[in-house]
Amino acid sequence: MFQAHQAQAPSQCELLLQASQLNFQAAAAHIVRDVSLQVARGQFVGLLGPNGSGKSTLLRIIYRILRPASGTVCMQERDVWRHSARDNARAMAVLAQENASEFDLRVRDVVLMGRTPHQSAFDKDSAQDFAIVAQSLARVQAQPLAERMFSTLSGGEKQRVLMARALAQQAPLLVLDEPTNHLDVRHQFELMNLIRGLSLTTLAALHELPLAAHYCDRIYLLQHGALVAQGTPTEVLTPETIARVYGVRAQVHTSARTGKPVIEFMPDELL
Amino acid sequence: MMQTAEHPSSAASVSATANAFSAQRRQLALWLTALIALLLLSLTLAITLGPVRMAPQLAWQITAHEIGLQLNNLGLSFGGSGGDWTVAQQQIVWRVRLPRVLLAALAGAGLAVVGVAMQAMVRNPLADPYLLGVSSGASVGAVSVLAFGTLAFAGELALPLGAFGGALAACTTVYFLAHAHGRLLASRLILGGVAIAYCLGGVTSLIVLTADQRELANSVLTWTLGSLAGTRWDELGLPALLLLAGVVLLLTQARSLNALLAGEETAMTLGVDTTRTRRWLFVLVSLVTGVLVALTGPIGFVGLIVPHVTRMLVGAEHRSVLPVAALVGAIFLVWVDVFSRISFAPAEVPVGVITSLLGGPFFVWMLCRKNARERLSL
Repeated sequence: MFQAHQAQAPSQCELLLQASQLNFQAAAAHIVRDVSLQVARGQFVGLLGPNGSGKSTLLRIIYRILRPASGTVCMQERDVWRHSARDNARAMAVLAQENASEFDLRVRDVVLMGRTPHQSAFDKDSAQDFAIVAQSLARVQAQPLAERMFSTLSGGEKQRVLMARALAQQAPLLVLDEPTNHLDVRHQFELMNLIRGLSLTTLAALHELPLAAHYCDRIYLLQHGALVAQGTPTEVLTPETIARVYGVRAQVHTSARTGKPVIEFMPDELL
Repeated sequence: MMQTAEHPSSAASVSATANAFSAQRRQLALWLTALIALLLLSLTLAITLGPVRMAPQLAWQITAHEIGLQLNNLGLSFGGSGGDWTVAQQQIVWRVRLPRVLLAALAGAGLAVVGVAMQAMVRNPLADPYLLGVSSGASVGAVSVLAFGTLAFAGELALPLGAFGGALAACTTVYFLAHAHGRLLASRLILGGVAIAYCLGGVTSLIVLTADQRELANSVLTWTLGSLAGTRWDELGLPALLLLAGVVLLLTQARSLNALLAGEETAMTLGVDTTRTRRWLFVLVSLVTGVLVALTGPIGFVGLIVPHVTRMLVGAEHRSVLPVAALVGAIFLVWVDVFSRISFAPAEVPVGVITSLLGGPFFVWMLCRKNARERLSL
């Protein structure tokens, strides 16, 4: 479904998500101050910032868990809080940071969960639902895992299966909260390549600057709950900004191979 | 749909997945058939076992005959003259054992289903209406009806209504006690539940002992231990109706329950209105627990043991777990009741005593498993 939408998209500039002047405060570490951000169709947008800068809080406001004190989140020009959780689940699929469940489900049942917002209470799972489950697993190269129990998977496999669940939601926007957490380097790249390969519109909170530099089209940088920089990786990831926000000295080169910024940290010269 | 074009080679895997899902359905049907057969067998044997033993056929003949009489009373003609049995045998089967055995099955099924629902609600396999104080709340409600005559306007429904009210209050209190910093903590849930259970147990005793009704004190003592003795036919209607409605309702919400297993936030991002779902789960859990406690007193640990065993049999997916847990719970409590009737004959032990003897060690075993220790950070 969403691919059909994408085909009809008039241009790359069509805004999918627009968050305007969001404010939120719960505890000291959960502050968001006057943040606005946009995600256009087809973009891979990264949300960066040190620990406690409010990345997760901002994402949770965007995916309609936390209600902002002021400001609006509009998904396809509709305020998410004026629609149900179900409507929202058809508009954005979320891969949150939540610890694994005590209750063990089979991988294909986990992916089938992604169909929840499309089914009503008395619907049986249709052949189409099963087909979408199979295709979603195929798109993340996880078909061989279909019959496994979720708890027996490795960290990277789990993330791929949860990606498949998100794909099964067939939502135009994918929201990821530090998807590469707890993954080793190889599996980080594997997952990021996979996400990029899906060519979906993506908003991802990322921990690793090098990952963001390589994969993002645009970056929003948060500090103490407020935006301090936004733009392309080259515009945002400058030595000055990195020093100011992360307190680490770094040199930034442009990769001759990819044309993307490469960050060289100088661990012996902390600020 | 659209993706098929993108992955023409995945056609085989699509049909493999569909086949796996339908194989799972067939397997569930097989389990349900086997368990229904086992339940019928258990009911029959449970009727024949006791101080007066009798042949299984006799139990069936008397039952068929009595059902025939009932249908005749309703104006339906149904053959069936008297058979080859004594009045005493007829009384034992139809008046004493059958209603009791059926209530055991209903209570077992009901408590198991309530356990499944509570465990999904709090994402924790250690949740049980008895352990988390819901049964104690129901007891307080029921005992205040008996002692003070509250809710007299409700007539015969006063007792279950009082129990429901008490259960709902306890259930909500424990749930919100378990939250800290917006998260539901397993350790707080269990400790809060146990604390509430003890506290409400004290309230029940206080009401009974100060109500100045000696008879009440005696009857309530047996009742607080959880007993199926003296079940009458007219008591079975309400729990049967509730159980049926509860299971059907839960089955329509099985996807929401599955999503809740993945976590509250995940459930919300999958489109589940978790606040609404939780609200009606509270009501359902309290209704079934309340009505059962009003009838039998609190019978512990069925809601803990049965869902766990069920998940080992058929996995955690709720469309499988709910009906299977109901059947396993029914079979389980029928047999525990048989055991409590005949093992210490001529004395009879309340069924709740036996479930506690089984459930306590079972709970400890669950606590000792590795992932449980991690979860509770013990």
